[in-house]
Amino acid sequence: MAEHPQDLSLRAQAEAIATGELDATELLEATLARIEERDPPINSIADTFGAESARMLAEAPEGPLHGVPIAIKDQFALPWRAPRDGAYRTPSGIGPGESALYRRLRDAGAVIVAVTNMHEFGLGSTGHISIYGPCGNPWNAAHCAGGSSGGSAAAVGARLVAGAVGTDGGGSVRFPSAYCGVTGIKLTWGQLSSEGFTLADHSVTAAGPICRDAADARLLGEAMLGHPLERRPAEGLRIGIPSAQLWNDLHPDAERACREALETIRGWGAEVTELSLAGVEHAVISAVLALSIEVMPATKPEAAIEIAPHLSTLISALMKGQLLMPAIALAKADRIRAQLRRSLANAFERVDVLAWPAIPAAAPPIENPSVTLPSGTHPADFANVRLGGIANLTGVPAISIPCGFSSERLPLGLQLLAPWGEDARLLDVGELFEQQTERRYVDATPQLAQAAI
Amino acid sequence: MLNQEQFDQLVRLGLAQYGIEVSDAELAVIRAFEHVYGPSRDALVTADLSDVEPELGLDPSRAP
Repeated sequence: MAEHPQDLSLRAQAEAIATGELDATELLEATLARIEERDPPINSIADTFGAESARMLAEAPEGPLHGVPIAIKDQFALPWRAPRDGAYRTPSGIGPGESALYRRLRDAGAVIVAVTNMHEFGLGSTGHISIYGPCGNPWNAAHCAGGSSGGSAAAVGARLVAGAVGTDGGGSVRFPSAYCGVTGIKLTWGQLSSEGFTLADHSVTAAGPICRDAADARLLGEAMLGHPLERRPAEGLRIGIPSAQLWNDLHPDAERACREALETIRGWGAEVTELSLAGVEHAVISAVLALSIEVMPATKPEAAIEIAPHLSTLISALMKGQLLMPAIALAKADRIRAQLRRSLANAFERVDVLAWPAIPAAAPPIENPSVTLPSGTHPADFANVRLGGIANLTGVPAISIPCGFSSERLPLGLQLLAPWGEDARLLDVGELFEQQTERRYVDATPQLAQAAI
Repeated sequence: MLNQEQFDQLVRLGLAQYGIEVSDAELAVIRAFEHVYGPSRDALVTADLSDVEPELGLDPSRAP
């Protein structure tokens, strides 16, 4: 096999191992070597553990991912490693052990090859704050990989691995996927057991696969869920777009790319319907409250005292500031959540998917993670969560598919949301979009990933 | 509307009740957070949501 095995798709790796064309041990060794050689500029990998990965491979059962290396976010327990949440230690108290994710991947025959970098405590959409150092974008290492699952998306974008797992509490799979030009789906909330996950009691966060394209995301998603994500024809699709609410205040590059993507989808016979979602005007602050209050260990003041000295100034300040949040804001955020869930349920009686951009602008520089939009210059977090938080507040699945590039040649993503449990529908649309665009976005390769190693 | 000195004092005293100190650097971050998210939080707090029914027994894995 002439090309490096990590230049193959996830499904091609699995197939090549199954047919004997690719030796799984050689794949593991080549993957570890590539991580060592190629990762330093982007810092997407927090940890590798060759001996444990080799043991996993030696004991791997036959399965859909037999022998295939997968990287996972720093939020899941492994038998040999406690998760750290991108911080000096996780406030969850979870130690080494078998997380539900570990068991699902192991049972599918996968080999966990690395733990990926992430934004500290998952509280950011940029990935530039982490105990492991900032995570760079494979398309331009001086720009953010995104957050909080930035390491997972960057590792896939740089072709270090073909599949990685992220988690998403406000857009944390979709933002980095869009920033890095890969496909990431936040699965319907609650489908994967939260055992061994640092945010086990969280009501807005769900895990999801991050891969180069939708077919690979389906394969990894099926392994994570332990059941098939059946393919169905995506023709005749009805798409709802809340134009006035979520297609405004976008960087012109993001708006152009997403509108062109929508036209492509319309071109295969999809019916596009304008609609409005009640509650959107309060979605940003409601998502921020839900995410930060549930994540923050400061729900116990003594935890803030103990942990703060070990955190970045930004996160320790946010943790402390949360203690002063008025209770009425939380109560009203819950009411907005109920309103949004009803809005989406009503919308999904008329349309099959909802669509709006995954990010309002391409990845900002690590040095200054803010974005300039028609309304002015904003912290990227604030601008991103407006587009990401609705899927988390409501629990529905949502995907980011690569759909274009900015004038600086940084990737952009279109976001699609489907009804609860209809995760496969998003992958169907993603696959059809890739076909219609002759795979020019999913097969685009950053310069970093064109190096010989 | 609080001026900066009043806001800083509110934060310091509010956290002091839990025995938590806040550094000047942390205070600057909390101030910035307030600048960015304060208006939308206040809009939420003052919004009339009396016609929005709560959802009891929330299960985010399925439709309401």
